[in-house]
Amino acid sequence: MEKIGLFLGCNIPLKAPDIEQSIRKVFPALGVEIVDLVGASCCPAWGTAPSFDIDTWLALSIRNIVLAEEQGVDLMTGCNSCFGVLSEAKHLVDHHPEKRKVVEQKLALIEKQYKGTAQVYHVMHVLYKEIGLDRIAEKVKYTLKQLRVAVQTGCHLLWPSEVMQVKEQNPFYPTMLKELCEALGADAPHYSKLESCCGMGAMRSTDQEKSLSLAKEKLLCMKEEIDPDMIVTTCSSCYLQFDGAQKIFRDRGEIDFSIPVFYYTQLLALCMGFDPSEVAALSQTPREEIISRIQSKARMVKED
Amino acid sequence: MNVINVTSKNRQEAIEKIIALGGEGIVRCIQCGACASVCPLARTGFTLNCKKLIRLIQTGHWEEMIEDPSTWACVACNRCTEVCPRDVKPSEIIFAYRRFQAMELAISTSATMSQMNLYMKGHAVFSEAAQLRQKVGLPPLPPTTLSDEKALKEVQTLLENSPMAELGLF
Amino acid sequence: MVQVSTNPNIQLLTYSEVEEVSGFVGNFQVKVRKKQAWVDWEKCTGCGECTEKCPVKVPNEFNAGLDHRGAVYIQFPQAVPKKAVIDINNCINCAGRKFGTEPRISKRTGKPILAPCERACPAGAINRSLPLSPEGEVLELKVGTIIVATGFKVMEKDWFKEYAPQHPDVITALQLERLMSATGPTGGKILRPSNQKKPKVISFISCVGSRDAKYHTYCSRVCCMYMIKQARIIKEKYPDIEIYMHFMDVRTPGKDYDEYYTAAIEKGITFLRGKPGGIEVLPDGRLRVMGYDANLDKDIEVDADLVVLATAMEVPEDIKQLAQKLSLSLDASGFFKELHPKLKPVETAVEGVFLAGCCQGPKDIPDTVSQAKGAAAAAAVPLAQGKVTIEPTISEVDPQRCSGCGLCVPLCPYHAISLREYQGKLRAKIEFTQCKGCGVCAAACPSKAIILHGFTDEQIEAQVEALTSCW
Ligand code: SF4
Ligand code: SF4
Repeated sequence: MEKIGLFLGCNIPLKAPDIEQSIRKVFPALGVEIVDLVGASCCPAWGTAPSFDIDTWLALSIRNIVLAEEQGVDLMTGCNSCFGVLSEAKHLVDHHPEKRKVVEQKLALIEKQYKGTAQVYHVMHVLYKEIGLDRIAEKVKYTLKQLRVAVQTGCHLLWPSEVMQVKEQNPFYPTMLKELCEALGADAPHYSKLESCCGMGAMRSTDQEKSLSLAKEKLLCMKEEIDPDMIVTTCSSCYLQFDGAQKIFRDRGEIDFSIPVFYYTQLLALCMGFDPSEVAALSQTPREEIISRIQSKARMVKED
Repeated sequence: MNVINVTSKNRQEAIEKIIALGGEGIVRCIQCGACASVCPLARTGFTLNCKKLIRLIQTGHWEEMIEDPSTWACVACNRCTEVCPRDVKPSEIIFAYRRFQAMELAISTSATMSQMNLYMKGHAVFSEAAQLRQKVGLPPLPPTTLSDEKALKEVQTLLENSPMAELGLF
Repeated sequence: MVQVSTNPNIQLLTYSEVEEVSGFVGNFQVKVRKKQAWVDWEKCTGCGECTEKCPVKVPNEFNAGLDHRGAVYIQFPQAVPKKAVIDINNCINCAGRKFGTEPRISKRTGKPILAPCERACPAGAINRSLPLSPEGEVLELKVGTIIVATGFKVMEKDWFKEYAPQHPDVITALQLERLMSATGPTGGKILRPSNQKKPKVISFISCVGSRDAKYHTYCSRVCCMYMIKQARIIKEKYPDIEIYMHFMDVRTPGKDYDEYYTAAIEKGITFLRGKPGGIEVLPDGRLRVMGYDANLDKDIEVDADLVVLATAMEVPEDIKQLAQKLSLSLDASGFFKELHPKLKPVETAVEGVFLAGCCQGPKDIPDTVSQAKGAAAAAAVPLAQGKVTIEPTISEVDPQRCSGCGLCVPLCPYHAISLREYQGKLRAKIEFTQCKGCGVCAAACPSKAIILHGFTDEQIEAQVEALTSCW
């Protein structure tokens, strides 16, 4: 795979653009060129068209996939929600001829055509399957040896496994992200709630307290069971939840610790030596200290 | 009396309605509870969860739950669908019921905002981000519908030609 | 089994496979391969000396993989006949003692250097110098009727990814059965496989792979009762162990069964209605069962030391080959199909072949015994009478019209047709005890030489006429 279409979604470009920047930095450095899907829209989020009308959802999702098709590339997204919405839409359309027909009619209104040639991948899938752990390990300039991470894969990368192009061996005991972190030298032990939901997304906007209770349960589980130096996730929503919720809990005096949170490509970019002011610059839970520890002389395993 | 007279309920009608909205698996549910045991809604104590909603519909309840916001808290994690032994796809039942609620406008103000954003900007989650983006060395606008009028028009055309347009949300 | 083995009228062939079945009721010819045991069973006394000396370790099938056996082994202590066999694929031929080779002679003692197993055998039943054939021996039997009773197997835990199958303390109910057995790997003590310590809390999960569209839609019928049995025995032996049973439904429809279940409740075993959706592995190695109590409508959690999965009963993989050899059909779930679910429960579509036990569908011991006695009686009838009644609606070849093309021979699903000599020419002949009257041959015959009695063209046309005429 030489090129891949980057589907941005909403959260990454508008709330955490340092994640976007980290993706734009690491992929070319690992040999995969990023192609912009110019004119892409919202996936559309679960709370919008999918909650009103199936056909409208499918048309909007397939339009985004067509943007990749038109450029002859597969689509990759860094947001788990986008990944879930787009892969489920594609699965539905590809497996139900009558749905495909409706979508084709709708796309005709905007002079687009769906061929079904582009696959939907998540950033994690491309890193794990296409680029591979070895190539990633080779590019590490600062190792994470003796640092412990709590991995957070995120629900939409696990279930329903039926619609995924790249599958975990056991979605209830996921290991891809763990292995990706280990490729950077980190220790990524199991903890009991590893596959549980962070509470972000629709629950956060419906009932903030209940949503936060899930985040807190999981956070305390990580802290008590493995006491990690940082949380590493492949989901932008989980990222926003753990980063933001910790601030709320600290402000309320509910927790007295602080665990820095990274999106995986941010951490990868730091290990590859990219500038933190571009790839890991915006967070509510402080990360400066751990970043300077990561990019320190002592951890350097390779000169430029 | 705190009793439901089940025979007076139109179970068939409720089931047909949910199927029409995308919840065809409802007829296969045997109420084993596997979905609820892992559902974030059940764990956090929402009044409805996948299993309970299914049971209510199976027993003919329909309008009664329309104002209940639980369905809107479903994170679409699909863990229920993964564990269901009867291929019910419980998350699809939640979404099917949401569609009924949505088309009756039984939705929260934040949900209304998202539809407006989707139509006006092409992004359901929207906030001014030019400064943040420039701070990390990116152009002020991402290469999405935000910087492409023709593309935004396409999204709007799809939305205008959908049942959503009749709701006056945008 | 011991009674069977000592009955002078019963010939017991163990460690054997049916290779081929031909013929028809009253005249079946069955080829049976007696597998090579590599041990002379005439001499073997079942003392087990050899098994203790074998250095090889293979997961022990009889203890559901919970411990190991050697390459030479006796399947289990109560095996009938109690004889050793060598699992030749796992045998490492100690001392270079491949079967059929002469032993090296020790320079020191001048005696032959033997493999540990042959050295250990006090009866001289193992002689690796013999050029034994790996093919074993094929016997040809002539039998009048056949009863198929090939049993079942249970699903392995690895299918159920949501239940932490990688964890040693998640076990199948069959494994628990072995842990509870006095002859099992722990001598009957309930110990966690991970650390050999006694569990404080045990959780049972029912319907694992049964009643599940992903695996088997049928109910395995025995799990509820054996789980309750296991729970009660454990509770009686160790009253301090807490036991939780997660059920979809408790199904105890049998004589005295429900009483057995309700007594379990009274004995302090906790029943929870609701299927668990997952298991979390806690840092101390314990297992958190993520359950749901349907009666409370609440999520519940049980932190257990041992989790027992009642995995589904299913047919063995090779049932299809056996079905082919016997011309039997399988039902939608893969079990052998009986002739009629209510009125012919032990008969099959093949005259003279009968079914008993779980090869026909999941059932418990009382039901199996009843069915087996029924099958035995049914199988004895034609033998005692010396004749069978056949259906009148079967096919027959008119040898005068038959051209001997042989088209019909491979078409017959019951192998009832063969080409035989008739007035110096080869003509098709239908064996009427084998014919089931399906009519495939009659429809296919290009010479219209086959009539299906009761469904001749004239008879069918007359029926059509009667149905379509106005009155
Ligand atoms: S898991 Fe499936 S069958 Fe069981 S209660 Fe939920 S939807 Fe119904
Ligand atoms: S998809 Fe929704 S209903 Fe299903 S488990 Fe997740 S939150 Fe619950």
